Amino acid sequence: MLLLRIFLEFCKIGIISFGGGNAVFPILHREVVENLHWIPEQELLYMVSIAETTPGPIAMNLSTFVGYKLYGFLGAIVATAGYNLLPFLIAISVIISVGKLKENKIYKRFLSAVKVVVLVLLMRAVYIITRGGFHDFRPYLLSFASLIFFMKFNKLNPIYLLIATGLIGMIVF
Amino acid sequence: MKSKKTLKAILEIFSIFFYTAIFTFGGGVAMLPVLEKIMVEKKKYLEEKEFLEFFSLTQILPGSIMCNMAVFVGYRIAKFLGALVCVIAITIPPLTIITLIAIFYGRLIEYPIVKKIMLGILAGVVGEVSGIILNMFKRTKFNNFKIFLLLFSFFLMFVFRLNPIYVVIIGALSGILLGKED
Repeated sequence: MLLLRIFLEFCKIGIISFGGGNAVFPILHREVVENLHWIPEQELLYMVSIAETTPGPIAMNLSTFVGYKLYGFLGAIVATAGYNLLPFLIAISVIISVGKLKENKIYKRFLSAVKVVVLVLLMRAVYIITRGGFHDFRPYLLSFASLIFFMKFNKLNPIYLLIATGLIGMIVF
Repeated sequence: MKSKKTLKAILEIFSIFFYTAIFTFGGGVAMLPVLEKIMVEKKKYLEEKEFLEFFSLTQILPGSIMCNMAVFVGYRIAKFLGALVCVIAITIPPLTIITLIAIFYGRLIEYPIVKKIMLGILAGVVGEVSGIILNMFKRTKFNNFKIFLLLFSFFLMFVFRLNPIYVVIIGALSGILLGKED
């Protein structure tokens, strides 16, 4: 049954979602585009641009969209619930045991290693977007300019950067 | 009487998280100042120190910062029910917005101007993520294990094209067995 598969698939992605939406994106891409063929790559890439500029966590927004594409409104709810379920249960257990996790030596080692993998996941995210979405040199130039801007204005909410590049894209692409 | 008070608190935190979820663009970190102002300064539901402690916890757990924050604050105010209500409150607005966009996606995407804006945003995302990568490189204290893990994960993901889920699992297990704490 498709609904159950959607639910389980997004449970799986949810439990492994460390390092924020951009790091979850390559995992989601591998599963829903390459393995399951649930959605074309181009559509997921466009959706990334929407997920980054609308309210809500990026990976959750992507889950909602993929769920909707597969099974309408019910699919959207099931995918979103699946994505949130296990992190919710983990967070509840952690708060009940009042943060003892932070002093746990094994968890510290776990986290220190996962952060390194997150670094590679972020590289993979950049690779997937540029390979699938950039067809000439102009987007690369705009990316480079955004990088410089991002490094210079570290404190600024990146949403302003994305709105600016969206408007620039509208004019120059 | 007490349950009436709890009910009122639950309704209030529901509306606070609902409001925050509508008006915070740019991910979980952008939500924090808004939430802090309401929860700590105005309503005094929790202290600054506790709020920051919650925030640091959200970053070491799976899931989005927003949802984890909703669980912690909600649980602190009204236990399990509070946590559940806050997560639902924070999920409804994005779920509605994305569903609406998904409904009109087919029609929207036919306009070349929409595609151009989306490509522009994607270029911005690539710049932003590259910046995050650079910052992480600067912050990470690399030892031999981490350098090895970085190269090995890179090989697995880019050359061997292993599913990233397994790379995370392999990295996590090797960290527990061979790594050091930061």
